This record gives sequence, C-alpha cells and structure tokens, in this order.
Amino acid sequence: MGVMDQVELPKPMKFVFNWGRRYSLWCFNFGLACCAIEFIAASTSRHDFIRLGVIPFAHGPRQADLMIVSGTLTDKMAPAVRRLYEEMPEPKYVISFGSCANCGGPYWDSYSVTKGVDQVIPVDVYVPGCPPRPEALLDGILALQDLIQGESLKTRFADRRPIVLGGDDSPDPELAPAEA
Amino acid sequence: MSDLETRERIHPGTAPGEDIALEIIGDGDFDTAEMTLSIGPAHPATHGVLRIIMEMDGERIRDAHPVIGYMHRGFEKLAEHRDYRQIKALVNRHDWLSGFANELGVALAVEKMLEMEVPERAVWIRMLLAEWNRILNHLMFIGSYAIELGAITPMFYAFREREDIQYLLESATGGRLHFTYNQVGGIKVDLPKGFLQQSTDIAATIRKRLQDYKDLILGNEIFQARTVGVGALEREVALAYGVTGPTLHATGVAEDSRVTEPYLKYGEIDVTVPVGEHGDCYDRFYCLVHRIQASLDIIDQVHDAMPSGPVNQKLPKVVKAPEGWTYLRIENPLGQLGYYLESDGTKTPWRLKMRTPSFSNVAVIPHLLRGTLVPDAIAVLGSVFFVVGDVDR
Amino acid sequence: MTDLLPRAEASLSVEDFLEALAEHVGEQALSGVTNEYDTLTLHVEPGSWVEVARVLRDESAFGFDLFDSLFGVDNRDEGFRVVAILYSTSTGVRVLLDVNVPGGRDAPVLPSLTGLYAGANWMERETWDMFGIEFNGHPGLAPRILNVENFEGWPLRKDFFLASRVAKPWPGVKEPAETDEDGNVVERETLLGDAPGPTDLDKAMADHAKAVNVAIAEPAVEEAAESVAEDVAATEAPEALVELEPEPEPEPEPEPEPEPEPEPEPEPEPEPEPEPEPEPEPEPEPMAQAPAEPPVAAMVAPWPLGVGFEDEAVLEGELPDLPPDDDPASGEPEGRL
Repeated sequence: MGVMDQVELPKPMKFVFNWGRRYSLWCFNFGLACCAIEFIAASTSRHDFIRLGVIPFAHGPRQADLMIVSGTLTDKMAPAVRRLYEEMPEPKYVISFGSCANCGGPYWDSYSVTKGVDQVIPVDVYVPGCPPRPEALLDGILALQDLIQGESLKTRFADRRPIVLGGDDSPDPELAPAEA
Repeated sequence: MSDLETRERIHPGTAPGEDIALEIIGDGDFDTAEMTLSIGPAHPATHGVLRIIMEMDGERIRDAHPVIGYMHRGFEKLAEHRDYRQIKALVNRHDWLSGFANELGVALAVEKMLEMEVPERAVWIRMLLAEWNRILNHLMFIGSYAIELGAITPMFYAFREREDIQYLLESATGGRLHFTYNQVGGIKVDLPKGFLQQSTDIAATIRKRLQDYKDLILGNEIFQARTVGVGALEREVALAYGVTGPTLHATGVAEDSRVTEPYLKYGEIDVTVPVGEHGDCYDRFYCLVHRIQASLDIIDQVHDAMPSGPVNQKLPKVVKAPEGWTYLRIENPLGQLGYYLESDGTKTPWRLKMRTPSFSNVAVIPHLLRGTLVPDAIAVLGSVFFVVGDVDR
Repeated sequence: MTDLLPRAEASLSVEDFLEALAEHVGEQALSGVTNEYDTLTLHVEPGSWVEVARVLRDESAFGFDLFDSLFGVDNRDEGFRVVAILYSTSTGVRVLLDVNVPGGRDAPVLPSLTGLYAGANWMERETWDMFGIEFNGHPGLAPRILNVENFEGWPLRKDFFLASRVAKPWPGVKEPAETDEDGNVVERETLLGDAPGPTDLDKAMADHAKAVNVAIAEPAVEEAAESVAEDVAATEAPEALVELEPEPEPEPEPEPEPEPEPEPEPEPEPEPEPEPEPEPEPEPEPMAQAPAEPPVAAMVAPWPLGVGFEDEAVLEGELPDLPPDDDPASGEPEGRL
C-alpha cells in the first residue's frame, strides 16, 4: 500500500481513506453450504446488502477485499480457503458467517470438519446463527464498517480484535496489546 | 486407459489453482492443445464446492472426472451418535434447499419401525409444507440455472417468490431454511391462525407469476438455443446410474414416489408428474417448472381437505426403535431420497444410510459431459439438479 | 403431460417371486429372506452375489432396472454386510440384497457390481472409503471419494471413534438415559459400537422423574388436572427438589398448595384442549415403555431446566408467562403481501 501503511496518517486523511474503504467493499462470495443460500438472500432485493456498499460477485479473490465464508469448512476444502485468502490483496477482511464457519457448528464431533474457519484464516467478524438471518449479515457488515472506520493502516495487524455479534463487548484480556 | 490410470495421471500437480498440464497433440492436420482443466471447488458456476477435472481437446471435453467430498461432514457417522429426536435436526441439513423433505423422511422411517399412527391433521400439514418446500427448492434452481446461462434477472424474481414462501413457512415453523418441524409421531406445533388464508393467497400469486417464468425463460429463443438438444440423457443410462427426479422424468420415465409408492396421503389426491421426451437440458428445466405447477395444484387440494384435530402425540421420554431395519423412499424435490434405518433396540440408530438423489445425479455427469463443448458443459451442469451437501453428506 | 407409468399386470407376490428366483439361481444362492417393516430383503450367499443381481436385472420376470444404492453396514464381530437396493420401474417392486462380506473385519472383499450397473461405481467407492471393503473388478477404488485423500482409518466402522467426543463430551444437558418400567436406569453391557453407558447425571434424572411422578400421581386427580394452566415448575419442582438437594426451600411449599385451588375457579376453562387429548392418545400406540406417566405428566417439567447451569432464576421456576389463548395480541399475523 505504498507509504500509507508505513506512517501514521493525519486524522483528516485517515478519516477520508477509511470512509472510502468502508463503503466500497467488494466481496468474494465464498459460499460453501446452507449459509450461502442466506447470503444470496441477503444480496437479493428484499434485504439487499448492496445498499451498504458491499458489491457481490467479485471476479476472483484478486479483485476482492472482503471474504464472507458461509458454510461448513471441511478438511478437504481447507487448503483451498487458505490459498484463496492468500490471493486477496491487503487490506482484506473476513466475515465468518454461520455457526459452522465460526466453530464447526452442529458438526462439532465430525471427523472431516474443520472446527471453525479461524483455524486457517484470521476472522474479523463472527456472525452466529444456523443459518443466520440475512439481517444478521447486514448487522455484521455494519459492525465491520465501524471497525474499518476506526482502523489505522499502520497498526491494523497489532490492533486486530475480532467482533462477535451478540457477544460480550469487553476486550479479551489474552488479546490485549502489550503496553507500548 | 482405465479409470485408475487416468486418475493417477491427473492428480499429481493439479490441485486447485496449480499449473495446468499442457500437451500439444496433432489431430489430423490441425494442431490442437490437449489440456487438463480443473474447474476448482470455488467456482461461481458450480452449485457449491464441486470440482471437475476435464481433459479437453481444444474446446471439446474428452473426459470429465468430478471430485466430490469437499462438503463431506460425516452425517452417517454423526447420526449414529444422536438419538431419534436429534437426528431430525441433523438430517435436514444435507440437502439444504429441501430441509423439510429430509426430516420428513427420517420421521417417517422411525414411525414405520415403531408402527405409529400419525394424527390426520399432522399428515395433511406435512403434505402442505412438503409441497411448499418443493416449490422453494425449484424456484432456487430456476434462478440459478438462468444466471449460469447469463440471464441475471430471473434470480431476483425467484428470490422474491422465495422470500414470500419463506415468510409463510417461518410463521409456522420458526425457520427459514432448516425447519425442524417434524417430530416422530406428528409435527411440533399446530399452524398459526391465518396460515391457511395466507397460504392460499401466496399460492394464487405464484401461480400468476409462474406464467412469467414460462414466457420469459422457457419461451426465450436464446435459452432454447442453449438448451435444446444439449446434454441428452438416455433412459437406460439414467436408470443404471440410479438417477431420479426431474432429471429422470425428462427422459420419459415417470418414476415419482408420490405416485408409485404413495406415502402420507398422496394416494388420495391427484398428483401430476410432468415428463419430457428427449432428456436434454430443456426438458429437465421444463419438468422443473411444471413441477411447480403440479405442487400448486396439490397445495390447493390440501387446503380443501385439511381436517382439524391434534397434530402430535405423546412420546416416551426415550424413543427407541425396535430391532430390525427398514428402507423408506420419499420424493425429495431433487429426486428420490431414501433412508435405510437399522436399529439394534437402543435410542440411537445403528446405521442410518441416506440414499441421496444428488449423488446419483452427479455420478452421471461424466457420461453427459463427454464430447460436449465447454459452454454446453455449464448448461449441462446446471441442469442436472444437485446440491453439493446432498452429494457429500 | 401426465404420463403415469404402466405397471406390469403380472406383479408377482413374494412367494412367486422367490420361487421364480430360485428357478434361475438355484436354492443355494439365498441363505434367507426377511420381509419386515415393508422391506423385502434377500440374504444372498457371497458366491452368488453377482449372479443374483444379474438375474434380477436381465430376466423379464423381474426387470430391476433402477439401481438405487449400495452401502455397507457394520456387523460387530462377524465383519461387515453390504446391502444393495434394486428397484423395478415396470413393476414397482423394490428388493434389498444383503450379503455377509467374507474376510471378517481384517480383509473384507466382495465382487463388484460395476459390470452390471454403472451406478455401482461411485457407491462402491464410497463403501470402500467408509468401511475399507475391497471390491474385486472395480475399475479404481482409490483415491478416496469423500474423505481427504490421506485420511487414515475407515470412518463408519464402529471401532473408529469420533475424536471430539472422546476428548470432551457434550457440555450441555445430557440426553435422558434408558429407563425400565419402574423408572430405574438400565445398565447395559456396552458392546462394540454402542453409545456409552448411563452416567451419574442420568441416574439423578431418573430418580427425579420417579419422585415427580409419585408426587403427582398421589394428589387428587382434580387438583393435578387444574394446576395444568399454572406455572407448574413453581408448584411441583421445589417439592421434589427438596428430596435431592441439601438446600431445601421449605417456604414456597405451603404457599403454592392453596394457590391452585382458588385460582382455577374464576377461570373455569384453563385449557380445555390438553385434557381430552391425553386420554385417547395412549391407547392406539404400543410404544416403548416409559415409567407410567399420568396424563398430566406432559405438563410437569420433568427436570428443572436450570440444573447444570448457574441460572438461579430458572432454578426458582421463574419462567415467563405466556399470553392466554384469547388474547387479541396472539391473533393472526398481519398479511405481508
């Protein structure tokens, strides 16, 4: 990203850049299972996440900056997810949509399911549900947009705090940044 | 070259995203390139995570090998560790577009082994919701098949209808996609007030809009040019592979469990089964659209015949099926879904095998894709109706 | 286009079917026949596996053209069974072919049906992937069709344990254990593949259920019936809880008892529906035995939901009140169209 992530930007510039990034997310719909149907329902006319600025149908991971993993991740599919995540250019975000992508879900005891997509890629927003309603996805996108607005490109990796929708908002002590 | 040798030649080095093996061979006086292309698991035109390795000669496909298992969650093993009330919540997720039909099959299988009488009203409500689920599933395929062929608008129309039906089903069952409404011995709770009236209204609306689908899609000459004569499936091949559902009906065989082995009360009402002639993509889609019409007719008949009464029965705290086994087949929207339930007298099944329609439908894809061009391959893949969760379980 | 399939008039009865089959394949091909729960199963000798399938497909008397499925079943110490299901579209008959796979659990081998039915290809690959049963004559069983290619083990065998369940059992409320007629937990000797045996929590639940059933069977039937509409956990659960936990709450005891009597009187029709329901229901179905449950047992919370959690409100029985049936707010949903 050139010089933008090497220096701490002045506030007005940071505001403008983050404002532009949060309202123009191009999303790579990585629909795996049942949650993909609710994802598609969220993109069609009744719920419509395009009005939030999120455009579906990126032509590939290389043109996307948001990956919404919806559905069960199996061990056979995990290398593909990792590869597709790595193909996305920075800054990139991941929304884990649905209980299977969050933690394995109803297949917690299966021999072929990866218990959560966060075992292979880092996740920014967790949307719980089985399947979550399309409105929950809209809520997750709004939470992600707030996260982007308050972000500093220089320290975004150190400051990463995943958001769990409906979860406890207090910061996780284990993830607290070291006092600098 | 045997299948095993072909696979050994393809697999090293062709994981998703890796380099394609390229060989130039001459065919007559025309230098064509033989290429092995992997339409990988994450692809917009496959219905979910299905990977197809195609050996191609220019644009023509010489052989196709579907690789499945990217959505294998181990349902059959998990079912052995859940009791008879919990497996309903599990099995409605393998074919995620027809959750009601899946759990209906399992509930019927358990009731068959327990030799349980289900209250009348519950049977009719099950039929009503099963038909609504069938329409929901078919609308999804109408939308997705059209979008694969390049027509984007029918997807939005289909989802508009789907939202209305999902609202209706949610008012009764609480779920939009996975209903968990069936219980062993009936259904969970009675329909809310006003459900039947709303169901009648929505059925009338969809019947009116169905004419739009027929005119805009089936009557569209571009659609016809892309699907008529493409991917014709012969009857004997379809039967040998175990293909069922609209894919089989298109070849001229009217094998529909609602008619040939009536379950619930399908024997008491009129069920229409649309059949095709040539078994090509157009006929499969034609059968799909007309199945919606047939389901609307069934829904109207169920509205008229709905009795009153209790909808479930008291169960013991632990439901145990007696020893033995049974096999029950119902008409899933995609084909015939069979459950083989073997029990050893305890509260969890010994073996629950799900014979899913999509597994057999996908098995016939290599036969269909041999010799076709790549754009036709997309038309064929979309018309062989399958859901990847159903294929892999 | 309502083209119903014409059924062959000569759809054979089960006896004729077996006779005709014996004529073609001989008496030794089948080791038995089962016809339970509307499922006709032929137990085939392993040596005649392919022959029986071929006869069923080719002979016009049978005409089993639709290959439904093929899968394996674990048979504990005897090894495995393979079941193939065939269906005839012309006669509407379905038959299951069941065979004990020779070779036991160490090296199960069976001839393949891919020469007869093309659909057997993927079905046999899946059976191999799940059980490890080799099929002679199959064009290529490897690589694994459903699991990851380097997967170790055969998942559907009963000695393949799910790692997550072994590492940590389900932390929520456990499912109820099997109880016999007296309400005592049944202790089973667990064979290979059975669910794990009853735990202490299961036994505590069974004791509680017995106590609750005794408590409501003894008081007069009208009092039990009239307390139906009330928040029953508040009246019944603390009584029974006293017996189990060393922290009794004796104060609520005298209070709820006079309550059910005056309260139902101003509401003569608490819930007319549940009362006639339980009576006709237990008659038709001869189901698995449960402890003798009086009709009102359905209204009694058999186990206070909060046990196992720290939720005091639920333990005290403070469940939210539902609106009564004639509340206008609980009427029709508004039309959306």
